Amino acid sequence: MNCTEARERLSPLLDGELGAAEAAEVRAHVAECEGCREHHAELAALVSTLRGAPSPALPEGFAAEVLAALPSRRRGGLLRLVPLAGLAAAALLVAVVLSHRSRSPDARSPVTETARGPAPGASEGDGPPRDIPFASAPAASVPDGAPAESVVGDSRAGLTAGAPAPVAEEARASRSSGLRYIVAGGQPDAAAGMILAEIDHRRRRGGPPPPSDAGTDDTACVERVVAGAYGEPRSILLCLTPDEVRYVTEMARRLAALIALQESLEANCREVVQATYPWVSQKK
Amino acid sequence: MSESDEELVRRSRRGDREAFGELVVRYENRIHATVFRILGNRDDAREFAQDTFLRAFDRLSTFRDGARFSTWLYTIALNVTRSELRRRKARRDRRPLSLEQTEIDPPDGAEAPEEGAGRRELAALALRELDRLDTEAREVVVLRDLEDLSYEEIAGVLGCPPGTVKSRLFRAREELRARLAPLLVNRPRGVDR
Repeated sequence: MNCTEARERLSPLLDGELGAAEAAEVRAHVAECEGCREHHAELAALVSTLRGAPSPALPEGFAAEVLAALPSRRRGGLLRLVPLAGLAAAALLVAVVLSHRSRSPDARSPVTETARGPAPGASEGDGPPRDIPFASAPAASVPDGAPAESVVGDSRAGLTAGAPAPVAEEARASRSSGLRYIVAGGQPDAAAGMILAEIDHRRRRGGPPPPSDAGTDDTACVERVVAGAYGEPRSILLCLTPDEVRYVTEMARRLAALIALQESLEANCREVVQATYPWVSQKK
Repeated sequence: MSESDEELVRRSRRGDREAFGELVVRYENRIHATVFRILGNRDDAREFAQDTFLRAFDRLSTFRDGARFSTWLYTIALNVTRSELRRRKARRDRRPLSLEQTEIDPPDGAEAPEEGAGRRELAALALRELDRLDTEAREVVVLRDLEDLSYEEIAGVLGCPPGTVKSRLFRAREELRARLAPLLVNRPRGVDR
């Protein structure tokens, strides 16, 4: 073993990270070589000095401050809602597509009926109006110059069996693919923005007052920059009440189930349509 | 018998703040010291060490069962410090060149204590030199020599093979040794273990 090889091994030797045979070889070289002996002594002294260096004093009340900060930090942490909101948006999209399909007489299906069930937590009249701004963070998420009307409102129209929005088929298709892109492309921010914009608008329209327990354990605060009515960036910071959190969560789950079941529901739809045809013809 | 980290993590995931508090108390010294040393012994280490725990709490759902909580926590701490150091660097890069030069000046020989300086002074100098290492080198030295993590644990924290830890540590220590050599020769020998 030459000096270079020995010195390369001094550091792991000090850490006990060399095998027994290799360590013995290094030690043998160091014992015979004055230069390496000095090198080893310096390195050992350095390591000893570092290991003996006093630890910085922990600031008083460190842990308590961390714990006290947890609730407010959960604002960010509860952005875990975002994937749920993303799911909800995806499910809403499916609802839109299905409800649009349902307008075609030969495609009316049980799917539509399912989608038209009352949204969980949404009471009569508190549904989002049509004029809320499209809450999409990335402008590119709605390609092809889709109409500026509310996607959330339109989507919910599918759920609440409201009148279909008067949009051109082509525009609807491109907006749908835009939304699909948002969710499939892992852009939950835009979807979350939609959900927040919806809740924000519901409050402005006389919904429940802002929670007074903002920042407590039971409140999830989320913030998103969304596109305003004229496309300008608008920041929405909402502290969701537990009920609202439940609403978003349940909504997301129920609607996500629609996505998961889409294939089988559509198959069921075709089956039902075919099965009812003879009955219809008999009536005639 | 105290609860294992794994059990405390499980309880924390269920929203048990007390359990998370226990984890904070268990690791606060180590995380604070790590952040403090990597950020260059500054007072704002408190803020970033606390941020480490808060991020950990936020991301408990991503903690992989079977992983070591301490390793995971150190990884978060390093991510926090790296972000901060990048931010500082960006800020510093905008400063006039003369200031930058002042900052990276090697230690002035005149500042060195007399031979036979006390262990405390030598430790202070070693820590100052540690602060002058690049981030990658500083991280391995802090994790190994100040936090006493094994090569394997460090590899887990840094997400690299143990061989990389070994070579980084070798280079970092050599750099420190070269800078401090005149002061180290009279230090007690025989740390070899």
